[in-house]
Amino acid sequence: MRRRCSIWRSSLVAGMMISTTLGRTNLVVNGSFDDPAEPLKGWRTHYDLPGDSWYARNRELVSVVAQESGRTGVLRLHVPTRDIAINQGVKADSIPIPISPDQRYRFSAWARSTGPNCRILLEGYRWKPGVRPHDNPDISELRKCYKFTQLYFGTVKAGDMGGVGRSWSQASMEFPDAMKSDLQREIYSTIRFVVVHIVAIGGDAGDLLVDDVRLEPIGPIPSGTRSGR
Amino acid sequence: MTYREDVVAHLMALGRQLRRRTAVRQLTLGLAAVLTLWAVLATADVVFRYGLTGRIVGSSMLWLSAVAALAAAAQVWRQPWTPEAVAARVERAFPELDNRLINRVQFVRSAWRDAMIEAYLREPPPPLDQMPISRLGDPRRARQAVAALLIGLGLGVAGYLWGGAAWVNSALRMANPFSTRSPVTLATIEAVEPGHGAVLVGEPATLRVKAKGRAGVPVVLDLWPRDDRRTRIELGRLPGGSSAELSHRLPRVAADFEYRFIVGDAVTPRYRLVAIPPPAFRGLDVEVRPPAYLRAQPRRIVALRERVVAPEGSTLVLTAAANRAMVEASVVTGLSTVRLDRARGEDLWWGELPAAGGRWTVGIRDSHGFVGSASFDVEVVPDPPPKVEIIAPRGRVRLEAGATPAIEFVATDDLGLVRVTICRLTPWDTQTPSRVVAEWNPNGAPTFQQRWTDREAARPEPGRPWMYRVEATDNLPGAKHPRAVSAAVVFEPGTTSGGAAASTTEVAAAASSLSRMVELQKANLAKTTALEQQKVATADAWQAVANVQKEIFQIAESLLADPTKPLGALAQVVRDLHAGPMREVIGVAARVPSAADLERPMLMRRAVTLESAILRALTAAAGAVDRVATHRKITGILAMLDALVQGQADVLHATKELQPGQVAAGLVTRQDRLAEDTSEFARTAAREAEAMRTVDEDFARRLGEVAKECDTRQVPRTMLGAAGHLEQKAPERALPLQEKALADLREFQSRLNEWRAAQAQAQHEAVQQALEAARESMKRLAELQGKVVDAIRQTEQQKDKSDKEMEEFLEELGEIKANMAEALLKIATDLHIFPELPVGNDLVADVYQIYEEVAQVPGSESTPASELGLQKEDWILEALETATERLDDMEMWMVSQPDAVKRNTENFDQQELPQIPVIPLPTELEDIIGDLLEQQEDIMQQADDSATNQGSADMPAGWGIAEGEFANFSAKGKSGNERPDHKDQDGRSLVGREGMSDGETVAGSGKINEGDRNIEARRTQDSAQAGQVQEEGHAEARATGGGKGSGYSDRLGMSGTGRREDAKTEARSELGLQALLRRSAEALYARASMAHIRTGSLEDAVRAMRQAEEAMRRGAPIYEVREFQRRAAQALARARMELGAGAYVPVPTGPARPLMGADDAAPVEAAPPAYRDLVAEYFRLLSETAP
Repeated sequence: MRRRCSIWRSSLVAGMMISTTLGRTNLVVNGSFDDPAEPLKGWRTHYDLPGDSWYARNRELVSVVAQESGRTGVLRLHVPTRDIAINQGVKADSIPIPISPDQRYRFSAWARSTGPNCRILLEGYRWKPGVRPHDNPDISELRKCYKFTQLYFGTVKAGDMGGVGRSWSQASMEFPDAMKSDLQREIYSTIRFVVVHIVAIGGDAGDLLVDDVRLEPIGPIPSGTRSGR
Repeated sequence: MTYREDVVAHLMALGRQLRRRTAVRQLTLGLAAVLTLWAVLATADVVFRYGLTGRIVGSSMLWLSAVAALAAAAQVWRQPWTPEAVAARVERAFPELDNRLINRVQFVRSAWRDAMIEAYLREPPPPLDQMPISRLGDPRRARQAVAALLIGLGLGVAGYLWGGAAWVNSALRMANPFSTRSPVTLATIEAVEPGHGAVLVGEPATLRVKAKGRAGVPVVLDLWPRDDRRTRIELGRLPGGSSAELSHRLPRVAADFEYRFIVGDAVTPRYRLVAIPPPAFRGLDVEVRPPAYLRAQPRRIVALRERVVAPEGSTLVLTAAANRAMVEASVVTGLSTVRLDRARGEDLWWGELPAAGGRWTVGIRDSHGFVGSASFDVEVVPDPPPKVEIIAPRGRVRLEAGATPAIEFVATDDLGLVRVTICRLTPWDTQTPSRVVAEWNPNGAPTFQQRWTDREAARPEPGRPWMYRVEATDNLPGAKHPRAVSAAVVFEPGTTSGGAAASTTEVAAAASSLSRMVELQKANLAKTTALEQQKVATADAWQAVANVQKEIFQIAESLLADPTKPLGALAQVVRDLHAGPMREVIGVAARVPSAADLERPMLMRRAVTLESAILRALTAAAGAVDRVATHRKITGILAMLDALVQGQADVLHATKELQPGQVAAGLVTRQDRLAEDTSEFARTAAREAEAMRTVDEDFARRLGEVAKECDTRQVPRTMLGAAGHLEQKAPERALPLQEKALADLREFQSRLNEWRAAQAQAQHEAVQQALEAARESMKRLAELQGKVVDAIRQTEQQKDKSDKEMEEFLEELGEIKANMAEALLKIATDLHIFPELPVGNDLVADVYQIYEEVAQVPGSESTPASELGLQKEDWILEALETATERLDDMEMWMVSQPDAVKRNTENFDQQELPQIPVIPLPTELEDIIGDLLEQQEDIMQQADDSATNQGSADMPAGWGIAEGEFANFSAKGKSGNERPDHKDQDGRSLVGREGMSDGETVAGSGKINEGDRNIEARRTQDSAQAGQVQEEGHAEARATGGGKGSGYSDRLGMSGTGRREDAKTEARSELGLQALLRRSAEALYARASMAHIRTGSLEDAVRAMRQAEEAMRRGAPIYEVREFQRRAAQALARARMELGAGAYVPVPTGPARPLMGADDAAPVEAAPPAYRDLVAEYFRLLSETAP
């Protein structure tokens, strides 16, 4: 019994040390795409709501590959033709993630591409009018209200596309930043959930490979910069 | 000393002899070895044709062996032999000596000697001197050496015999590896072209070899292209005999390559040809630096794409960027050839040259001698000379008595004016044909307008009128000042009597013309009526009718074009006839014979109606000619008196300014002329008083009294007295006389003004009564019209609508309605391209906004604007017609760079556009908005697209949200993060950002966000649709366009044909202002006319204003409106001159010109479609060329 307790304590300390060392909680469900039973758990790839006709085949083009250039469990968005690349693209969205207006967050992801460009960003959602808030919302119960700055993988942190390269690289952004306008502040304050939006678009046919998508709280918003609700 | 005496010395001498012999043998052996090696190497070179390396190796061996042989011989020669060694060799050669010689030598050289040695030494030495010395040494080896030498020589001889000169050549090649001797072959390559060098990429290259040899020797070319594998090409065989040249042509060289020729056993070295791109220009820019006096900014032109246009005197800075390093660049202009300087690097060249028109050719040359060139055209625009336009008077005029020559002109120049003068011309005086009488310095102003009166004009002699000329000089530096000279302005001296006579003549001629027209019209009407009644439709008969109408038309045209305006106030009547019925009836009459049976009676009826109208109006005008003549005569007399009063007042004022003793020649002249004119006035007044007694007794009586008083009071004499005092430099004595004369004239003027005021009052009352009567008539007509309308409605409600009468009635009504619709649908020109809105009148209540954060690309705010032309395509129309359902959208996002593309779209004619289908809207709509991107204001304006009617009923929206080249009727537009372009935009949309639009709002609510900051007020009343738009958080934003009948955001625009909901504004419309001006001018004209004041060109001004107003009302192009406004302004200026400076009448100097001005041009939209652009261009040119 003494020995078992000792092992447990050691494990706890080790876990705390690892937690401290490696970082904070990842709010993205299955952001590493390593779920052994359901690799795409926590991700939406099937689009069948009204207005989604461009993405009817989308589900067939999204998968998780076990090994890819030294990484395990990688999201693969396969863009079969250039025509799709320069039109609707192939996309995947995470399930809604509740966020707190008092927190700052860090959003990051690893990616590489063999053809298409990408846009990886967070989208803010609020409840649709008439929907009673609850803990497990479906996307159809939410309404998009905000689009955050996308992740830029290139050296220039601006532009319409993410600029992902052929080798693995990581990009990140933190939010919220100082609000530019009352309109931004007003709409930001209505956000209740965020969704990680990944779309392989632009460029050429090929695969967009994404891994280790993380959304981490990094502490409270400094006083005076809160957006409020 | 003998041998016997000294054996050792003898042996030493013998040793030297033997050593020499050994060295010679050694040398012979070495020589033999060298010769043998040489022969072998030469033979090998003949066979193998060594290259440089082989030759060096062989030659090294040869020379080393030679050196070794020499060294060995020298070694032998230099090494001394001891007496014992020599003795030993001798003993070996002569064994019979039995060692006695060597013993003796040793004993002799021994230091210790005993008795036996002494005894031995006393014995005589061996008889060495008697022995055959030739036995010494090794004769066999000597023979061997000689034999070796002979073998070596033999090999050489054999080689020569075998190879001949070739062998010798090889022997020499091996002896000197660095000699240029080529290996001797069976075939000989004499020349290879081009050898090493360069060739242009893409150009052909010809490789040549010149060789000779035996017939049938093959010639081969080996190629080693850098970008391909080795290739061997058989070029052919030598024909034998003399030299032959064979070549191979590479059609297009793509990369560097090496090559060599093989002719039999002759092989050339490898040659290398470097492929280089042809000299070309990466850029050829010309910066046009206008001369400083133009105050214009330099302009950069891409000469390879655009035409270089430079003002005269400009400097052109030419920058040529070559595609690679060049060694020389030059430009050949129309004037010279100039070498360009190297700017930076070896590929950039520049030069600064004076602008010269013509074709410029820029040439570049690289280090290989390859050249490239590019040409462009330079157009040098010369500085246009200034322009002078005489506003008044127009043409040759006759100055009434008492009036003073006056000129109003405007001089213009694009650079600026430095000197404007008026010269008085005296062409009859050959000594001084002209004299400057007025001069101004406009100080570089581009426009200079002036009204000038010649106060010093003396009364001219008969046949020598006042002639003036205006000259303007611009500020072009240098000696060549461009100068503009106006046509001569001629004032003919006139008298009241002369004027009246002339006026009477002109009016008589006009009356005669009118009578003639009435007679012609009366006869033609009778003929037309008869044809109509008899239903005659022969071509001859109706052509005759048309010919008569043409004659009437031409007479009317001549009368209208007469600069003396003989018709006076009747001109407007004739002008209306000329522009309307007279013109129409010619066409109607001509069409009758060829018209369809159903149409013919209508045309005949129409011809009769038009001719009746013409006859009616002409008859009335002919009857009024006398009254017009009388009116003109009275007005002329009164104007003359007014001019005398004005002139005398001016002279009096000028006299008061004079100092005692001051000379005033001009004033004396004027006073003299006034005296003469007053005398003339008195005579004319007396004469006209008699003549007008029957016309207007009161005026005749007053005029007679004035004439009599003028004589009684001796007004002219008083004036002459004043002139005399002025001439004697005594202005103080002239003043009382002048004041008296002026008082008398003013009294005369007052007497006549009493009549004038009473006359005007009477006429005014008469007009008022007539107006009141007309108003009453109109009121009754309106009531009658109301009853007619009621009757129509009752008729429409009748159950039985099948009778013919009803059909005709409905047809007529339909036509009327169509005409009314056509008239009402005229809209402003800036909106004329848009199709009629497909009104959906939908409202989407659920509109939600998405805010997007955008990281603007650094530096994109200053990305220069570029232009994009988009032509109209048929598929757009097809897509419009076939759209049936709403299309889904793709990914959309905010752009991170502001729109820097100006899209110029070719628009469809409205008639081309089909009915645009109204796609049902969804229950909710998504708007995306972000903070405005930054962009430089000037670039933003440059990137504003043209208004477009290329559009689609729906589109699969996606990707960056920006303003494109299509209008859209699916309400998929987003507020975005850019300001809308400054243009009217069509289609359906959400609320969005403030901007100019012609579309329909579908959002049930929304906030107008910041957008175009320069909204222009709408000039049309577009229909507002039903429904209320709830504005969220009212922003101080503005928007125009149709949309819902909101009562809130109506501060600007949103007005329809229904009830106007515009906010109260003090701003007046251009059309309203124009109408106000015209009414003021008309009122002034009427008042002046009633008061017998000369109206001069006021009538022309009124007419031009009316035309401008009409053009604005019908939405004519701005050039047309501007042209009429310009004419109105000029006419007003002339009127001011005519009323202010004194009366004058135009003098016809030739036949009346045909009416061809803008006054008579049909409006743009009246022209056939194919000619509308031409007519619009006509007005534009008129407007632009006129100052």
